[in-house]
Order: sequence, then structure tokens, then C-alpha cells
Amino acid sequence: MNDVSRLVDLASAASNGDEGGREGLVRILWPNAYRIAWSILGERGSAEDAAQAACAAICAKLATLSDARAFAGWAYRIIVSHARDQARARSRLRLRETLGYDEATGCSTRDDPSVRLDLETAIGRLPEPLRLALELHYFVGLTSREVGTALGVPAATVRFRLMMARRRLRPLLSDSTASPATREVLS
Amino acid sequence: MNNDAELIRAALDRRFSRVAVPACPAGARSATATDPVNVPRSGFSRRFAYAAAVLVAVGIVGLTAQASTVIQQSYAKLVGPMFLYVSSKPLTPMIHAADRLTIAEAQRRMPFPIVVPTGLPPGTRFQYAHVVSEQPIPRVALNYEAHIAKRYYRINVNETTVAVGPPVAHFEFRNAEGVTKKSTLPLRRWKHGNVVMELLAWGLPAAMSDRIVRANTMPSQ
Repeated sequence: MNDVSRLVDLASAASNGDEGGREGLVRILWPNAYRIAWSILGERGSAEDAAQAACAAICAKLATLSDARAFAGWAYRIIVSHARDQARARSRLRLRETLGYDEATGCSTRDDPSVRLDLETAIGRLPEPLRLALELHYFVGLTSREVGTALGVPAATVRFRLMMARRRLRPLLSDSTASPATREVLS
Repeated sequence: MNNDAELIRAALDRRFSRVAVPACPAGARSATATDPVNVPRSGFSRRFAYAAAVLVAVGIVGLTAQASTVIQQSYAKLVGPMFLYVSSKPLTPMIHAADRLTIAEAQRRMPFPIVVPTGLPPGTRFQYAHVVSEQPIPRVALNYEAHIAKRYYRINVNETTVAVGPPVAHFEFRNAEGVTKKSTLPLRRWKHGNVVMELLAWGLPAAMSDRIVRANTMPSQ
């Protein structure tokens, strides 16, 4: 899943005109592209559209990539840009806050008073810049420089955001059962 | 820290495991197949036309409101002096006290005999005489105030020896902001012997003006 080096190999093959490499590249990139788009948009349909458009754009612009080693940051930059464009166009950013992330399971966390505010929920409630940095770094496996390329910020900013995200999650990292006071801090 | 990273990774795995990833779309991945489709826009957008129309309308209304306010303020200060000729209150003198003379005082500075006008409306009182000029053309102004039907009218009778220009009076008012307004009012002009008399009674009923002119007209000697 987090095989960035394999992505680089496929990217160099695809940029040399290998059709199989292009197909494999999209197949590997697709799940995380969809997840990142979903994380930004908070909706399945829009995330799929954005991920498809991003994959198409990556294939179309692959010839312009001069250094295949920079593929990961470059590709996620396109994915994030497409997802943000879609969010801006459909004004879904506010909707994502109200939807929660249980759309896939078909139930709403907001309606369930017994929902437990755990680490997973806390990550979902982080501000988008912190959450995206966290996801791209820890889940996708990008370096801080690549995350910076993807988000359009310097690597130092990424490291700061990661530190801020960890600081916000710290109470839950030490104790997975959050107290009411912790919930206040996180909300 | 490593433990924290593991916990975060596990939480992110759980978070994304809830998201059912759809199947990767199949299809050609060539650059030609992924060219963006540009739908040509149909000319000038109607929304822009509406927005421009609204902006123009708002601008016109704003400018009109602004201009009307300026006009009202200016005229309120400028038109005020014009109504010194007709008022519901006693009229104030239009010149400084030092220049306000009696007929006898004015007579001493005039080379011709000042004609005291007759035929003025009942209740008219003399206010003051004003020597407008002595040389080269002597001119004196006699100011009266008539009180007719709860209104005060200023009756201004000018006397001179030479009629200069058309029978009109030019006024120029300037307010505190320096805004000026010029007005030209018609005069009644007639001869009383060798004296040219002019009547400026703005707002006075025409019949009364006619009576004053008739009563003071006298052929040249």
C-alpha cells in the first residue's frame, strides 16, 4: 500500500511510453488517491470523480515530469489539487464537517450519543491541513518533503503541522479512553 | 514517538478501512485519452450581463442621490437670500448699518432730487436709503417693507439719471462653502421727469407693482 519506490519505478517506465507501466501506476495509485480525495471532500461520489480526474491528469502530464524520483509528491499534489478544486466548486467543505465519515457504513456518528471519541474520530476532526499532512505522511508513507510538494508548502511547514497534529492527539495517544476535558480540547 | 506513529498509523488504517474504495476505473491511460474536454462557452454570460446592469443601476442611483443631496444643500443656503424679498417674518436689512441712510442723508450726496415714491401698498414702511454710487452715474436705492396678508415684501426703488443696460437686476449669492449662484431678476423701469426710476419688488403682486409704476410715472420735463 505504501510502496512509494514501486510507484517511482512504474512512473519511470510509464514516462518512457510503457502502456503497462501506466496501467499499473494508476492501479497502485488509485486506492490512496481515492482515500485522500475522500478525506478532503467527505463524499464518495465527489471523491471518485476527483480521483479519476487526478489519475487522468497524472497520466496526461507524466511526460512533463523531469525526475521520476519526485513522482510521489508530484502525483499527490495533483490529487490534492483536484480534490480541492472539486470541493471549492461544489462547496462541500462545510458539508464534510457535518457528514462525519460514516457515510460508507450508512450511519451517522452525530446522531449517536454513545459514540466514543477515540483517536480515529479525533483524526477526522483535525483541521484539514493537519489531517492531510498526517495522512500523507503516516498512511501514504511520503516524506515531509514529498508531503510539502503535495500540499504546496515547505517541508518545515509539514513538520510543524505534523507536530501540531501529534500535540492535539497526544491525550489520546497516551490514553485511548478520552476524558470529557480531552473531548473539549479536541473539539 | 515510534509508538505514537504506530498508533496514528493504526488509527488511519481504521479510518480508511471504513471507506469502501471503488474499483479502479478501466480504460486507456494514454495522453490522448485523458485530454480535458473543453466545452466552449456560449458568448457573454447572462449572469455577467445582469450583474453589470445591477451595478450600473446602483451607480446611477448612488450618483443621483449624491448629486441631489449636494444640490439640496447648496440651494438651501443659496436660495435663502432670495427669499429675503418675501418672508413671513419682518425683513432684515440687506446692507450694513453704516450704509443705511435716511432720505435726507442720501439726498445730500445725490445731485438730483430724490423722488419719494407714492402709490405704495398700505402698511408699507420705509426702511433705509442706500447710496449705490455717486460717480460717474449717481444711483440711490430706497428700501421699503410692505406687510400684506401676513407676508412681508421688500420693495426696492432705485433712482438714477441714466438708464444703463436692459431692465434687469443681477444678483450673485455665495454661501459659506464658496458656492456661488447667480440670478437675474426683471426690473420695472420708468421715467419720473429727468429721474429714471426702477422697481424691484420680487414676489409682490403684479397689480401692486403696476400701481406703483403708474403712480410715479411723469413725463420728462
